[in-house]
Amino acid sequence: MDSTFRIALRNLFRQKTRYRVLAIAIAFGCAIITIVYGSLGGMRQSLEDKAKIYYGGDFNILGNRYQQDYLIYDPPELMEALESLPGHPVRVSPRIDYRSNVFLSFGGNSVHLRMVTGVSWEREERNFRSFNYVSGGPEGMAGSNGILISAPVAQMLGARVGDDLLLLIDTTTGQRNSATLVLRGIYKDSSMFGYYTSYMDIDFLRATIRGVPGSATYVGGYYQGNGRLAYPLTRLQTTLEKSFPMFPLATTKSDMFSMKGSSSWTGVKYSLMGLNAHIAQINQVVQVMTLLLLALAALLVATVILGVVNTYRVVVFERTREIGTMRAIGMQRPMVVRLFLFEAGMLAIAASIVGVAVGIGALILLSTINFSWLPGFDVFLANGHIAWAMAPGEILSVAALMLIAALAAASGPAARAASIEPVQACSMES
Amino acid sequence: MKRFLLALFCIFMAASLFADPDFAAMLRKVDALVTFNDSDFSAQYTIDQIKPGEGKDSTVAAIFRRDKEQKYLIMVLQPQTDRGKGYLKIEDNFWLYDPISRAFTFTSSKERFQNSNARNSDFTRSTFATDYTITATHREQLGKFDCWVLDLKAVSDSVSFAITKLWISDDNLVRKKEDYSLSGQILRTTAIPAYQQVGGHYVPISMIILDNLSGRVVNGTFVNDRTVITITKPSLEHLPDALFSKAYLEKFAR
Repeated sequence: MDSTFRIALRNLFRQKTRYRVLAIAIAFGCAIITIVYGSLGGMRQSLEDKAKIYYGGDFNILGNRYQQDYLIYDPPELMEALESLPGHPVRVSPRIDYRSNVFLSFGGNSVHLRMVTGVSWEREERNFRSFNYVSGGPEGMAGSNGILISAPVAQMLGARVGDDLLLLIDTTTGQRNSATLVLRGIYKDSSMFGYYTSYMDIDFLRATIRGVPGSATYVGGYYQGNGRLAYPLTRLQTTLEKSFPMFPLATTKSDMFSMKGSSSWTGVKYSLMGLNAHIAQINQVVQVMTLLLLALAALLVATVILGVVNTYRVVVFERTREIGTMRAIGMQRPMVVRLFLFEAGMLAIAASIVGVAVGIGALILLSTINFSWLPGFDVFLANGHIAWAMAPGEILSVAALMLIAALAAASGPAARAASIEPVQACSMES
Repeated sequence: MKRFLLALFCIFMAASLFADPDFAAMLRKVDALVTFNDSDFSAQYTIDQIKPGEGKDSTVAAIFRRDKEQKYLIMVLQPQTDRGKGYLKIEDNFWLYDPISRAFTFTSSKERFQNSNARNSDFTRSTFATDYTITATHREQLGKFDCWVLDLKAVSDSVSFAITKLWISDDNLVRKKEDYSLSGQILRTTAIPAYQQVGGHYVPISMIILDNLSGRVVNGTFVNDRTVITITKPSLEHLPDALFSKAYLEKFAR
């Protein structure tokens, strides 16, 4: 085994001119897969992080009233039930999402907001620290008349942190109301989640819209630690069904709407929705991108296999006499196979290490470029940049994929080399 | 005795001269003067939305009212891109018709009309007396008009503005109106400098609605966004019943 390894290593160095092209091909394939996989992972992570804050966590529970707006009359009851579940490490928080004719006005400029969200800052402030703030931040938002807005909205209003903004909003009964808000933070987010969304104190918003005292639109939950695995949504749904009137678990938003539309009920009926249900449509885009990545990876692996097969065919042909000599002095057929597989394996490992390193280097370089100018792409960016994400296991997988491809490709020529009879090999003219 | 009675009469006359009028009755008169309960009403409204430094957008609409049945219909005639769009109100139901999607959607009289500062409720009958209660009054000179200023607070949440202030001239016509949010923020100011008489009723010749919150600094001065509504071709001719229907809007749009 040891001598086979040494011979294989020696052969690699002797044939380095021939193997160089093959090594470059493997390294290139590895680098490309690393870059695409790493950036896709980062983009998916950024999307999830943004969506989590927008939707109030890894999951949320909406209060549905028949043919009326969402409302949970008693959020503490639901929150207590969620937090007291044994083995359910979760941090929950109530929210109000409000969309009724919301305008922000400052210095003669007026901006129509898609939505204003009331947040319980005592519970959620630390989540909002992860925003990329142009100025200000979420500190001191709890119980105040502060507001956080996106940089594009601040630019349209011509407002800076500390300015008094006028919020114009319809109450729950449709009357126009107004409130003076202090701009406490401007965050950089021009994605669909951040652009026309603003965040303010839940109690202040509820009072401004004359909402039901203590009520919320939904309760969101952030998993802590391994909560997602320890208490999957299906289990949470089953548990909640024992204590609350629930709609079945929806996999997409449209599922939930169709469930709501197909029945009538009295009071509040809850619906549990995971983050993936909210971002199902965007996930489809990510899935298409993943499929494209898989196709690219398959193409690269096929190229590597072809390269290895062709190279080893030539190598076997060129080294027929050498194989014959080795077989003549006692090398067994399995040893010949191992020799060629060792060569291919070592080549694949070395090239993969270089490829992954180059790929990671390229990812680091890529993460310094600001892509926020790309329209509609901001949802996949963290602070305007691609935040690549690749677990060590994933990096090993890329290298392993190339190794397996190289070994599989080399096994055929290796078997052919082992089948050569010594007499026949030695009589061949090289 | 005669002297005593004469003195009493003089005191009574003087007291009645200086006494405040019945403001609730005044509001009812205001409503009655601009509401057409005894006939149908139609007119052409030109709505110019003016944003300082950005020019103006004009909309021409035909408006048909049957106030006694709480019905009205607005058909957009211009611009060409919005032609066929319509608003239909029958009692408490209010629909917006989009000729492109050929669909009716529910809307509200509180919504802005064609993205202007006018609300859909600005085109219908006046209901100050039933929708508001008077919270304060005082006398004020408004240009050439001697006016009573009435502070009103909504008694229901069906109106566009929770707080309104009216300047009513001695001929019981509203000359100026200020609309406030529920928390007392001024939102818009409407001026009605002149009216035209139609039958025994009145219709503004023009209305200027100032958006108190939006505008732009032009040549160093802050100029508010404003909407100018000009009303022409007023008529009291009877309108066919079929006019106040969804089918009519669909037919007109074709």
